[in-house]
Amino acid sequence: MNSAISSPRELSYDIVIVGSGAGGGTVAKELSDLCAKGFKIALLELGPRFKPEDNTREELPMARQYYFNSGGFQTTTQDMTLAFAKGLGGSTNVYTGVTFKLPESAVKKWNVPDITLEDLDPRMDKYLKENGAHLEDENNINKNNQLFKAGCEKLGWHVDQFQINTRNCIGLGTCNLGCARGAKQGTAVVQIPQAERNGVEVITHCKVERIEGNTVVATVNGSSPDEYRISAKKIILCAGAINTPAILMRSFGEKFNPVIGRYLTCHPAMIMAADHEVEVNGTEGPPKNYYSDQFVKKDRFLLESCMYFPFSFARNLIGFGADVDDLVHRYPHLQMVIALVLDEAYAHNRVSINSKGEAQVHYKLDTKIQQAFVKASRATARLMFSAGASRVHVPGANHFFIKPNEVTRLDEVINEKQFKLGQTTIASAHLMGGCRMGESADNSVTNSWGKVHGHKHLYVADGSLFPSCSEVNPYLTIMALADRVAEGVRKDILSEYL
Amino acid sequence: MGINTKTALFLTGYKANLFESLQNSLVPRSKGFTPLQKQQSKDLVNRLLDDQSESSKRKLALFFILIDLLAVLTNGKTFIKLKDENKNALLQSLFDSPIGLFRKGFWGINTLARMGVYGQKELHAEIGYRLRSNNHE
Repeated sequence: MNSAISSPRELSYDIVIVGSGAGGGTVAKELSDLCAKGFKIALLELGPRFKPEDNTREELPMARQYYFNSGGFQTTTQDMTLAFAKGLGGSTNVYTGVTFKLPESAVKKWNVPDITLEDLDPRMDKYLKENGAHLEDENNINKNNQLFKAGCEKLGWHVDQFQINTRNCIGLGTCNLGCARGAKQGTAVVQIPQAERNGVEVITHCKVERIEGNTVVATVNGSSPDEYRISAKKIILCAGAINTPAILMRSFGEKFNPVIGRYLTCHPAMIMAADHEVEVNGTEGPPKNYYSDQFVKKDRFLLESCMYFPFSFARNLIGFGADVDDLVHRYPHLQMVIALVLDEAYAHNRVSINSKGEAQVHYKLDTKIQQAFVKASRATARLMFSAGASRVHVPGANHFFIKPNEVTRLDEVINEKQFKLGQTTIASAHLMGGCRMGESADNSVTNSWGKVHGHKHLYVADGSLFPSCSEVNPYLTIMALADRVAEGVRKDILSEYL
Repeated sequence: MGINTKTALFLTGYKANLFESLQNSLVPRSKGFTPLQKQQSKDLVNRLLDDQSESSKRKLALFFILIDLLAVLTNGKTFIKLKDENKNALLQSLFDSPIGLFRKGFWGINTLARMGVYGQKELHAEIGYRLRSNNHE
């Protein structure tokens, strides 16, 4: 526990930032120079501060350490799990560092006045540089990624390499379990240390219960509930697309804004695997390097190379019995691909709170999403066979292993009738929306500077601001928006209090 | 990492025995488990469930009851006492059920069964999962 809070239970700051992921870490760094002008800033984080040397890279213990519900937070319909993280650095501790700029198509769809690529581009460029985003050297690209690229190229599909944000990475391959080298350039490595050097106070193990006026009511390090009252001139919520709406609802009720918690999008995803005669050893080296947007416009899914650990992989296999054991025991020979559906933003997909004030997520995997998954299964099977797979396992197929001689009739083998919710493991790690930006309180929670409508001192700066999905991995976009929110907060606080 | 003892463990007594029987059908590799591996499997599942909501645990407990109920209705015996082929047939009917809730309940148990097996780091060498050395040059 931070020594600054060991004695008084009433704390006072000028700015309090709640959450330390891509949004909170960015805001903390961007505002930290205000400390030199005498402003007091606190960064509150629910989880602990991790050190690279504490990372054992063991799958289940690390999943439990970093993720909410060990990475298995279920939606209320129990057909999708959500992965989002806690601890200083938030979900930037556990992403693979995949760095995409927000595409123009997504900005247009957002349709928020002032939110333009002209505004966001320089901000994204700043963080590309700050986070060391780069194209991985070809010599470090592993076989799993090479197969993805080769498969796409043989089919004539567009395939490209994305940047990853690492420095001095030695390719341990366990990025989703946190980085044991501190090579991944998340906010705990880049932005938060800079903020702390400039004077921002970090308070870990701090669970924010609610906001009362200008006061954050919190529990710190297992203290009695509501024991800490942290007042601030400006409060910036960066707890992510699930927890930021939940905090607002606990504070002001579920109806304080007509769209609070709503329009949640999440890029529902599924993982598919192929068995190759040759060794693939996909866990060695950076796990992800390539993507194909071949089907984005028409079928609304994005394909990316990926690699998951034994249980995370096994849980994606459809069915049970000897076939599952058979495929898992081919682990070193497995190629893996993830399909992310670019889901539409609907009001019924939302965060709410239960009687205990805990967040719950309501999300309907509608027919359109299921159809996209079936098409993604077919496309992935083609890609994998094109890369030389000896057998392929994908959702929606009428048998466990698809063989190369079935490649000409994949439309028949993989079909919508066979794709049943509850049979397929569908997961999401890109949580967006719930406090969407916009012009008025009738259809948005904040304005385009992240200021909550009707609340002069309250801001949001995380993925919950997205009016609809980002169509790509979202962290860089979150940082760009957080940068913009920080700019607005700076202007506001300087004009109001200096 | 020790098991949190603040809340009651989910897999104990009959539920633990039923889970082991289900796991043997769902993930046949578990049939060859040593007593230590069996215990580790249950520990992993209990640890995960410790993080889950009471509501999730209640639903899981109900699904265990449903499985036994279906076993009795279709075969006159509880699941543990069924022959392997009857166990597989019952599980297949849940996996492919027209009722979404049954498929989701099956998915939950299937996932836990796999976690109890492939979540054991002692089995990783057997399946060829290797961690690259942290001192890699």
